[in-house]
Amino acid sequence: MKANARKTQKGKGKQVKSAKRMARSSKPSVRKAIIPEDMFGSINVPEDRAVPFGAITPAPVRQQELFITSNWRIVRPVIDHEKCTRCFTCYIACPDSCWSFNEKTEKMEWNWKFCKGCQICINDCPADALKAVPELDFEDGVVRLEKPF
Amino acid sequence: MAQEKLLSGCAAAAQGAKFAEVEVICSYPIRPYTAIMMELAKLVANGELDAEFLHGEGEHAQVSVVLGASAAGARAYTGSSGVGVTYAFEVYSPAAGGRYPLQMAIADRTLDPPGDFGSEHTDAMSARDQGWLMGWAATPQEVFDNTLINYRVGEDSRVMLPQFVCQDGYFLSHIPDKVILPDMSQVKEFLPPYNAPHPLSPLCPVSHGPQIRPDQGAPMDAQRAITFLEVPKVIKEAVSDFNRIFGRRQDPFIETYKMEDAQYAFFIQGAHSNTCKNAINALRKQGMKVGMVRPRWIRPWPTAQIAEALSKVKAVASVETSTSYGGAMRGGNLVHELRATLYDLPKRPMVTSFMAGLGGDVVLLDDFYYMAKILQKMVKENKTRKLVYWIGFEEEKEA
Repeated sequence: MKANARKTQKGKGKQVKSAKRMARSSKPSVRKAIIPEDMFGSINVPEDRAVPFGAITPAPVRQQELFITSNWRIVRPVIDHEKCTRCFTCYIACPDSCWSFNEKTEKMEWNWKFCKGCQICINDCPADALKAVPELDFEDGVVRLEKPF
Repeated sequence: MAQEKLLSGCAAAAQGAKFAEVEVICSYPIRPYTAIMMELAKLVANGELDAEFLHGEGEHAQVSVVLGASAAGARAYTGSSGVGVTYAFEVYSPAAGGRYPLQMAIADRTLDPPGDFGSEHTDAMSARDQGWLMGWAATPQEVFDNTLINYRVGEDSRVMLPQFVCQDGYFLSHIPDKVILPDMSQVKEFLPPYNAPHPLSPLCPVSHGPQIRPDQGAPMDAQRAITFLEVPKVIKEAVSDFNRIFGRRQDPFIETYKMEDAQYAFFIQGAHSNTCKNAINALRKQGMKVGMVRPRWIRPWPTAQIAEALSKVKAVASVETSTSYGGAMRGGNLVHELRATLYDLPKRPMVTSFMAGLGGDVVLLDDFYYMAKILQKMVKENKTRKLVYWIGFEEEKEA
């Protein structure tokens, strides 16, 4: 509305101006762009938050250190090695392959980096060797993290 | 040797894919786009095109298949219409986020309910914010050209994004027009082979599409946003090369028609712009200085070019060919972005919108005359009385 009001006030001056602009438009190289290219600015992702192109990463590796995904876990499975029969049910049941067998210690090992706390292993364990313990009970519990990894 | 043929939009798209030497094609039937796949199936069966031709079990599978093919380093092609476009929706964002420059042809079809098959742009328009390049053609020739241009831009190492190459169903997809099919050597000069930076291969194993953390989501979004800042530059280069190699004079971003001295303008996309041009010729005979601006891209939106082209007119009619129920203008999608584009002009024109070409409706010459009259009245009264007019359903017959 403002622009229109101005137009009625000094309509004549506007006409002259637009004629000038028309004359200039025949030389696009000198005319100033109405919306300059830099109007969109630029986006700078800080280095500590950068993610690889398309999140594509080298493989195969046992675990992607770049994409640790256990920070929403609220309970973790804790193993009683005395009760454990090394039947490998947990190894088979875990959707994130978080259970493995350490041949040196001859014990099952749990991977804290990718366990989501789904408790499938706890439910499936035939020897009752696993129990769910809240993350809050651990000093390094993921629920205590200020920043996700 | 280049040759001229009479081709429908669908046949032109298939020829475009053939000249681009696509390596993997995935089909699933739905009209009207399905004629593209019928044509391509013939070309593959006749040995004119050496490509894997797969049948998806649905549109979601179609896009998933070409995503995988693209991840493995193949130039991949698929397409759909209407509800098929929306059924594949889940795969659109991963295809862009994972940077797979596959191409999907869309011949528009009205979304259900229930069971309309006419042309309307809402199907593809609903997918416009998924990080794909997107634009509408107006002629079969442009469908052919856009197929090549989109592969060239999408596969550029600075871009690496999938592309929706859209055309109006029936009006364009099934009405033949002259198409110049170039010489293969020209296409080879214009479109280099696709070079995937991190292809899935046992020789150099990589992981695609891993689980990422929420704090890694924003940087992934930013990756695509940064790329979209670069895309216009790449489009400009590609179309300039295209014009040189194929002897054309296309504007990279918009088509303008009789805009030099225009006081009024139609803003319209797709094949209805052909009727619009005829209407403009008739209106100009009656002394009304009217022109047309047609965006060739919806994503990236040619902000600067549209603002520039419409900077001198008094009033613009945004001809909507899609719906945005309850949107800011209670009409279509184009007008939102058009008004936003013109907001920073020193002397911005008046803008209203017209719902036309919905559900398969033809936009008649008379409809354009009606819109022109509304524009004239707006300027005369110096007032935008309504933000949206539904063509054919207005009480105000004579503006």
